[in-house]
Amino acid sequence: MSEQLIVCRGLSKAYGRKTALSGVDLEVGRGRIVGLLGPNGSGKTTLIKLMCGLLQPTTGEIEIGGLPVGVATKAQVSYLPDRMYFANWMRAVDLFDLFRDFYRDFDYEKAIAMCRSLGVEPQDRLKTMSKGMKEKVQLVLVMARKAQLYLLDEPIAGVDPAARDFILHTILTNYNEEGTVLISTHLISDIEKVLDEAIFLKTGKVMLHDTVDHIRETQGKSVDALFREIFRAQPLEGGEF
Amino acid sequence: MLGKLLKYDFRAMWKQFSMIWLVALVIALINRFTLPFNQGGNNGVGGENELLAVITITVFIGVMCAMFVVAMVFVLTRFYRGLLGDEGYLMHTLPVKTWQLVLSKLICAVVVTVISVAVSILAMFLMMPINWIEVFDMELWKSLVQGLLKQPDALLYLAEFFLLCVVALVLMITMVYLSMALGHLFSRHRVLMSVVAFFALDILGNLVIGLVNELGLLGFLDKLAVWGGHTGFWVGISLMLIPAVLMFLATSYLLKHRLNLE
Repeated sequence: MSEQLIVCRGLSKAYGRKTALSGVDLEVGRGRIVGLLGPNGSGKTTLIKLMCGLLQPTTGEIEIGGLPVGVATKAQVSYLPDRMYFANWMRAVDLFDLFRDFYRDFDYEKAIAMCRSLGVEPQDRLKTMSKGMKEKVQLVLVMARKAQLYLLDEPIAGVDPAARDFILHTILTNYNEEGTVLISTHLISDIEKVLDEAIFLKTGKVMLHDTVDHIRETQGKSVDALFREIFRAQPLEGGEF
Repeated sequence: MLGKLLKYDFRAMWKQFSMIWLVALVIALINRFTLPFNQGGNNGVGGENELLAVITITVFIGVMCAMFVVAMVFVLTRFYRGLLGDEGYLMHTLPVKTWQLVLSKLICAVVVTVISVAVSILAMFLMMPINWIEVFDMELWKSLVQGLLKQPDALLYLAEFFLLCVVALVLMITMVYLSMALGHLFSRHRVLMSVVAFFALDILGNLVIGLVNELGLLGFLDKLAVWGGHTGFWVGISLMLIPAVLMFLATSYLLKHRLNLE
């Protein structure tokens, strides 16, 4: 088992002429909760999608657990995308069946129990559920796995503050503690207390990657305060008020 | 893993088609009783019955057309939405090989089309005023079996013809898949570029056939008559299978190495 769980070397991604990531070198270990922090358009989703194999890098390479992204890494990665990815005719239990079939680490009973605790009836059709309910089903799918790496893309972006705590609580009480959780968000104050490490992304580049404790020690301020300071410096990226 | 993928693709197919197949057969059966088959011309057919017959046959034709339109849309969207749209986020993060994802969609698309054709043929039979007691007459079947025993080739020819049709269908579907995979390479106007790719592939196919013909590589086809009918079928099947396999491999390659779900 390789020491580092995620290794990115010289990773770049361009969409046509627009550069989304440029020269990202990154190493993330196991058993960590890591915040992937940056404003909208900083490349968070691109980096996560590259780790899942939904995008192909323009240059550079990624390894998950010492392996290039492929069938073997997909079996270890549990991914929560920023959108709904299932057909509406299904019921939550149909999705659980599917996950049980494809992922050895999926715990069916746990998924059903999580559904009940989140107030979702697993036998209901997805098309009869509200957007919030569907998001919960997707969260259950992801967190009922005992994965090596959880990639959570903006899990708390579209919900009210009370629901944010609820979602974070679900993540924290259900993840595999030997695995690593990578949470992308721009709502730092809500998750700062649970993070071990923070990665700051700015216009496709890693500005900072450090432990939260070390950031507090050396900077004398919270991650949230540091984030605001870094990203407030150029509010319009060179534009004028 | 392919079996598991097929399980979910077939489930989606059944969800969408079970009702339309059933409705097609039921309406065919209704037509059996409303169409004036036995009256010979207009004799004895009342205005009301005629109107009813017109309505039921119109509904039947409508359902048949709808079935094939839905089948075509199904073939397109299961691939486009399922692998290149939002559902692709689920499918491409499953620990399966890309060619298995494509093959599962392809098998399902072929099965949907074949069953739809079978349903329409069955519906035609249901509509006809066939005396089923006569059809199930043992004597008739006996003589049919005896006839087939004298001409055992007949069934084989039938099977070969069926296979030829299926391979032609596979060729068509792989071409559509490859067009969508090529269209996906562009960052904008992907649907439009897929349509352009489809016509480009069609032109390319014709150019290749023309070139092969020019080089005299198809000269052996003249000898088919000497080899006999079976060989003709198998040559036809093989000739269509080659581009179908190539397009399948190209589609899988593009989805594996050039996938960009933005």
